Formats: sequence, structure tokens, C-alpha cells
Amino acid sequence: MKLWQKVSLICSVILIVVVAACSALLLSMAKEELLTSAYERTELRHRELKNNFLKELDYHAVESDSGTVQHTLQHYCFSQVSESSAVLIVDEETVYSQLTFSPEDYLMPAENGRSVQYTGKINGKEYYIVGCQTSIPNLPRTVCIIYLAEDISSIHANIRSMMWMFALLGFVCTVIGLGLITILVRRSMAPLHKLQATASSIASGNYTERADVDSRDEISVLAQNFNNMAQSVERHVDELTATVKRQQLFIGAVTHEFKTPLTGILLNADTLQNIYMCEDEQAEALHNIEMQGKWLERLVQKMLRLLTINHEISLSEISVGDLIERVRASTEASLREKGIQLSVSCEAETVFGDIDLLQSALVNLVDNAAKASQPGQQININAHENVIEVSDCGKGIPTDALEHITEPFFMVDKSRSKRLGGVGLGLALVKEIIQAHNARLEIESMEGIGTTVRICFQQ
Amino acid sequence: MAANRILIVEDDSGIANTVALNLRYVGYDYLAFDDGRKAAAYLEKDHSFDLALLDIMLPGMDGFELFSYMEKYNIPVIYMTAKTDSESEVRGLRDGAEDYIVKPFEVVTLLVRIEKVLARTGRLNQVYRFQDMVIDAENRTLIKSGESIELTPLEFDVFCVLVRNKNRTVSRDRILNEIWGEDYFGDLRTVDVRVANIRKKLGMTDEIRTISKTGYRLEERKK
Repeated sequence: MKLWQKVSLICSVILIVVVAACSALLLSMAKEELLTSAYERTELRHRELKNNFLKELDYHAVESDSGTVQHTLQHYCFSQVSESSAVLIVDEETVYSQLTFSPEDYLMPAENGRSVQYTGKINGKEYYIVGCQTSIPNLPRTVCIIYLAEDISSIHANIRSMMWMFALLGFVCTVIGLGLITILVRRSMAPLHKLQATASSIASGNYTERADVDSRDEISVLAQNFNNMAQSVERHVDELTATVKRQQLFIGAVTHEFKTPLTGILLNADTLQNIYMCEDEQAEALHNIEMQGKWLERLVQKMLRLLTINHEISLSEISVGDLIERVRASTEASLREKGIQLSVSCEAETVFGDIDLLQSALVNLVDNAAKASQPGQQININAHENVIEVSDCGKGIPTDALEHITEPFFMVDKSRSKRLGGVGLGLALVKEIIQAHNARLEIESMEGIGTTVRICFQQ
Repeated sequence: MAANRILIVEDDSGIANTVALNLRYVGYDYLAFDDGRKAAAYLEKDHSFDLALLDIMLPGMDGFELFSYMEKYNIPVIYMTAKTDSESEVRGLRDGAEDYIVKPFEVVTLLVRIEKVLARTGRLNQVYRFQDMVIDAENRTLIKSGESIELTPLEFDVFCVLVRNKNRTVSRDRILNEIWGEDYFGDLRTVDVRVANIRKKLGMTDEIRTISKTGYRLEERKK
């Protein structure tokens, strides 16, 4: 069962119960009211009837012992004041009655003069009968009973018709109420439907989808949270996709890079095997194989380094002075061989990092600077607060190449780089190391003027 | 008719040198460049090449760009590249390249493809010279020191294969395949019989060397 159906059903049941209970309460109150007032009226009339009758008797009082005279007098007086539904019984003899039944069969007033009442169904009609015993002043021994019967069938009929009206009204109210409840519940559930549609759309892979719910209730809060969730899911999916794509590109580039030296090795081996060559040529082929093999080895080492950076990193407070000294020491020999000067200045105390990895990154940067420089030129390593920079006065990097420079296997001048022993992974390695330190790599370069590479650590 | 002349544009010197060496040994002329732009510039003044072997990833100008120059001078092209993605393959062939060879490749494959492309475009040099012999594969004649020498058709075919691949070891399988096609599963001994006959008829006991377990090699120089 759907939520809107449940809510509607619960509301409907409550509505029906409330309407029925209210109707029943109102009806019973009305019935009580009507009957009480009818009873009171009847009793009042009964009292008036008794008093009037006694007054009338007193007025027409006749000194006579004759039963007949008295009887006639009583009859006359009673008929003067009575109503159609009154009965007068004197000494167990009905003096006056216009009723079709005898009220004395139903109730017998006591002698103390108190009136007694009876309600009940007589001959198919509801009656309220009031009766009391009284004595006639002149005739102390006679027992006189006066009844007044009120037909209250109409009141009962009224109540019954009221009941039907209430039932009808209740029914109509319930139907209208049900309709309204259903519409309102469905309307307030509509944002949920939207949300649900959005959720299934996202589930089917449409991660950019967002819930558009503009109400100010909990559903809108839910939608807001839902959107936040969708956004973070989208971000993660995008990141994953980007990572996978990057890895695919990397693997593609790796296979491509492997193919060239492999081809060289295979071709040379094939040539050695199949061609009748002189010794010099054989030696050259063997040398070629060795060079290509070494190149492959360098490639493999750099790649392993690239892949393991994130596993082997252990950050600690390290001295920048020590770091730069280590870089200087490990590049000294090769720089001297190329006739390039290395100038070092250090104004920074410490940074937070892995000294081996940072050394590796800086050595790479110095190597790159050396490759770009001419003999006699100078390379500078400067360190100040949270920044270490390597700058050269070499040939510089073309502007359109700057953004690709850190991509694996990107080389500005491929054949030149290869001649100088580069495999195209140096800056990719540096970038990876810098990222592992949560630092930033900045490269500034002007063709013909030089390049400055800056490692900016977080404060 | 002079030897076929082949243009090599490949930036990896190891590959370029080895390919060049192989081409030289089997009797092709060649010219190698390691930069696309240099090759294009050279074509302006000299474009008498029968075939071009182009790498795709080249400094200066890539292989696809260079192709338009080859088209201009009507030079058939074989791409030689590590790019295996089908996109560049399709592009290479759609542009009109004759063939496409993916690194790493074998020398034999390259040589066979070169031969096929040259034959298809009618540029294959059919006249070979070996020492004092002139072998005309088209007219099926062999002249040694001005004298015509008769070889049976099969002997002639076997000798042609050896001459076309002079200085290279040619396996018996390959000789069979070259003559009877790939589907033929003949007795390898037939090759041995023909070779023995050729040696006898031409007096080339030393020049045609038996390479154990493999095949034969026609050697031009002696160590």
C-alpha cells in the first residue's frame, strides 16, 4: 500500500469515527432536550388542569349529597377546563375521558398527592402520561384522579428524521472529507514522487540529475540533503572516472613507450641472427641492444617509483638545508661534467615532508634544468618560507607545452630528450611527489630566457 | 635498372639504423631522417624514392602531415609506428597509405611488405646483380660473366629468393612460402635439392651457406 493511501485511509477512519460520534452525541442531547421540555410542559399543564378544575368546582360548588349531581357537576367543571387528552376518575369511576385507552391501567398515583409519570407505547403511539390523586374540598372522602396524556410520537418522529438527516449529512461530509484528504495528501506527497523519480534517474547512472522541490517542509529538507548526497556521489564518480581515464591514458602511453625500445632490441637481435655482418656492425648492433635495454630499465624504474610514491611516503619535519645539500651532492658530478654551475641559497628552516622523495623531485628538476642549459650557465636552488625553487637560464618551455609538461611521456623535443637519456617521466614523477605532500607545483617559463619551477608547501 | 630507393623517417636512431642496415644488406638504397620537417624539406629537391617508411610520432612534423608530401611526389607509404589504436590505423589507410606495420615488428615482415608494396605499385626492381651475375626476374634469365646459364624454373625461383634476401638468412619455410604460397606444405627437402643443384651449376659452394637448422644465406662478402 502506498504512503498516500495509508495516510488517506487513517485520516478517513478518524473522520468517520469523529463525525459519527459527534452526530450521536448531538442527537442524544437534542432528544433529551426535546423530551424534557415536552415532559415539563405536560406536567405544567397537568398542574394547571388540576388547579383550574378545583377552582371551577369551588366556584360552582353545590350543596348536595346526590351522587348524580356531584357527578354531573364534576363532569361539567372538568369539561370546562380540560383538554382532549385529560381523564378524570372519581372513586374509580371514569367521569371524563376522551382517550381510547384507560390510563389507570398504566399508572396509579399514590395517595400522597404526588404526581406520577409514565412513558410508553400505547396503541402504536408514544405517550407521556402524568397523573395525580387529589381530593375534592367539599367531598373529603372521594378519591379523585386526574390524568393528562401527551402524545409524544411526533417528537420521536422528529428525532428519527433528525437522525436520518444527521446520517445523510455525516455521509456527505465524510465523502467530501475523504476527497479533500486524498487530494491534499497526494499533493503534499507530490514532492516525494519527484524525489523518487530523481532518485531512480540517478540510480540508472544519470549523476547530474537534481531534485527540484520547492516547498518548505521536511520533504524539501530531505530533497536538499538528497541533492547534497547526489552531488557528492557525482563528485566521487567523476573523480573515479577521471582516475580510471588517467590510468588508461597512462597505460596506453606506457605500452607505447615500451614498444620503441622493444622494437629496437628485436630488430637488432634479428639482424644479428640473420645478417652476415662485419665485426664492427655486429658490435654496433649489440651496443644498440644494450642501450635500448638500459633505456627500458630506466623506464621501468621510473614507473615503479611513480606507482609506489603514495605507499612509501612518510611525512616528518625535515631541514631544508639538509635537503638542498643532499640535492647538491647528488647532482654535483653530472653538472660539473656538463660545465654547469649550481648556486644554492637557503633561508628556510624546515618543511614537513619525506626527505628522500623531495630529494628525488629536486634532483629531477635540476636534471631538467641541466638538460635545458648550455655549458657555462647557472642553475639556482632558492629556498624561503615554505617555497623551494629551481631556476635556470636555459632554452625555456614553449607556452603551448607548459600545460602538458607534467603529463607522463610528454616531451617538448622528443628526439632531443631521448638523446639526453630522458624517458619523459621526470616531471610526472615530480608532480606525483609534490601532490603526495599536498604541495603545489608552479612552473614559469620564457622561451630563450629560462624556467623557474617552484614547490609551494602548505602553510 | 638501379636498386629501389627507400626513404626512412624515424626518430628513434636504434630502429632507423637497424632498418637501414637491413635494407642496405638486401640491396636497397635508402636515405634516413629523424625529423619530419627535415625530410619534407629534402623532398623539395630530391624526391626520387620508390617507397617511404614513416613513423607517425615524429618531431617537427608528424607522419600524417608528411604523407601529403609523399602523395605530391607519388611515393607509396608504409607507416611504421607504435600507435596501435585503430583510429590512427584507419586514418593512415584511408589517407592512402599502402600498408601499416606496428612496432614491435620483425625485419622479415617489413622486408616482405616492402617487396609487396613495390611489386603492387610496379616499382619492384626485377633485375638483381650479384658479383659477376645479372639476374632478371622478369624475363627469367641469368647471365654469369656474359654467359647465359640455364636453371630449371624451380631452381630459378629459389635462387631469386636468395638473391632478393642476400646476406640474410632465409629459412626453408620462407623459400617454400615465397614460391608456392603460404598454404603449401611441401617437403622441405625439395629446397635442399634445388639449392644443391644451384650450387653445382653456378659454382657457388661457399657463397650459398647452409645455416644449420634454419636455411640458407647468400653471402656477398667473405670475412
